[in-house]
Amino acid sequence: MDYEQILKEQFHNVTGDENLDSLLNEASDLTEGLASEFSAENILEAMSQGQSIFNNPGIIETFRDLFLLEIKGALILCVEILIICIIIGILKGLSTSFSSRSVSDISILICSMIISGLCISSFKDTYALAIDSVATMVNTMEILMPVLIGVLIATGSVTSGTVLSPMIIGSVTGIGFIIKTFVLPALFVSTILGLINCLTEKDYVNKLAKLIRNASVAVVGMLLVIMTGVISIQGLLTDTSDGILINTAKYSMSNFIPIVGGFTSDTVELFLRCMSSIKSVLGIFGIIILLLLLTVPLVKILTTALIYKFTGALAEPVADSKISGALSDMGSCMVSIAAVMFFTSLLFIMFITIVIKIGGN
Amino acid sequence: MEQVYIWVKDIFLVIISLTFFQILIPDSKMDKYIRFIFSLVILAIIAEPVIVLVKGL
Repeated sequence: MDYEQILKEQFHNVTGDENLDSLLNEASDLTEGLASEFSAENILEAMSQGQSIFNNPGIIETFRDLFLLEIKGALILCVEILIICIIIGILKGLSTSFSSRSVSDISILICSMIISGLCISSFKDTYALAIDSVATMVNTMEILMPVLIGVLIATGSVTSGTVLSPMIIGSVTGIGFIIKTFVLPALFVSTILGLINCLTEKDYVNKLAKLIRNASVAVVGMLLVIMTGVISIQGLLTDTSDGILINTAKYSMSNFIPIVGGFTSDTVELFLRCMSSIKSVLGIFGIIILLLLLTVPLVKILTTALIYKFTGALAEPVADSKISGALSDMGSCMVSIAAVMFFTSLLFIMFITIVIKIGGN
Repeated sequence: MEQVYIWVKDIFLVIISLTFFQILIPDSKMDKYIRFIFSLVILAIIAEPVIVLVKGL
């Protein structure tokens, strides 16, 4: 029996297959089938044979297709907005020929309202996508973490496992809740306030919208710093105490048990190594899933943001500066949403990395 | 969160309707004062959650 087979067998024993499969299915639904190429078995095989896991040229093509598709979808919106902007420009030029100024003012106001309606309806899709992707990330972590912690305990890091398990799972759930119920809705509200602002001549809610946006991004940044700080420091500490435990066990086994003690201690060592390579495979599987769950929506959102900025730049000569400013503000709001998603997945990836790192001795 | 949505909806409706009124009122000497009163109304709407929060304490 060679070691690859043993590793594979143990891998299936340790991790529940149906858990990982359901995770993979959910992820590949959201990432246009990209995630299905990185199943845990493939990663295990690549690791035991020393191959690269990213040797598939299809990945780049999928991303390019996704990008072009999104550009096509967003360009339709861009053209619609630009046509209304041109109408506004014409109305402004004609305003002297109307009997009173208020007629042209009202028509311009209605055109601006149509533009903000279009923006809100496209922004709703982006918002739903962001909420969905954050929810899937949290779900991934909630399925993966118990398995990973179980393997972590099997590598001999009992203290780390018992201390980190409630901390990590609690903070993952908490962060998911905070981002889904406070941060993303706050960004949504800030976008709507920014759009309201483009309807009026005077700035009424411009600063309020900016305040809400900056506050929500700052909250996420603070969460990131606090959570990773606490958990990585805790991980360092428990890792040390686990090291003492394992080394004492190995030393006492090889010295106090006569004759077979040395072999037994080596076997224990081999077992722990095997477990820690299984842990790495699981962790890398989780990181890749999280990265894909981040990248695919991120491509979509950033493409839309780019198109908004572009439309804002194009609209500036024909429409007034208010509308072009509001359009490029929409772009900034989408970039903020993308930043929140990026922070969330960065935090989760850090959690997984901390767990992989523990017990590496 | 529900109250926040209601707040934003209020801001939206008040600003839209006041903008319409501003366009529709005939030009007169009172124009400036009416605009000032409108902005006071918007200020009150924006500050509403703060007032509710302070009252609750």
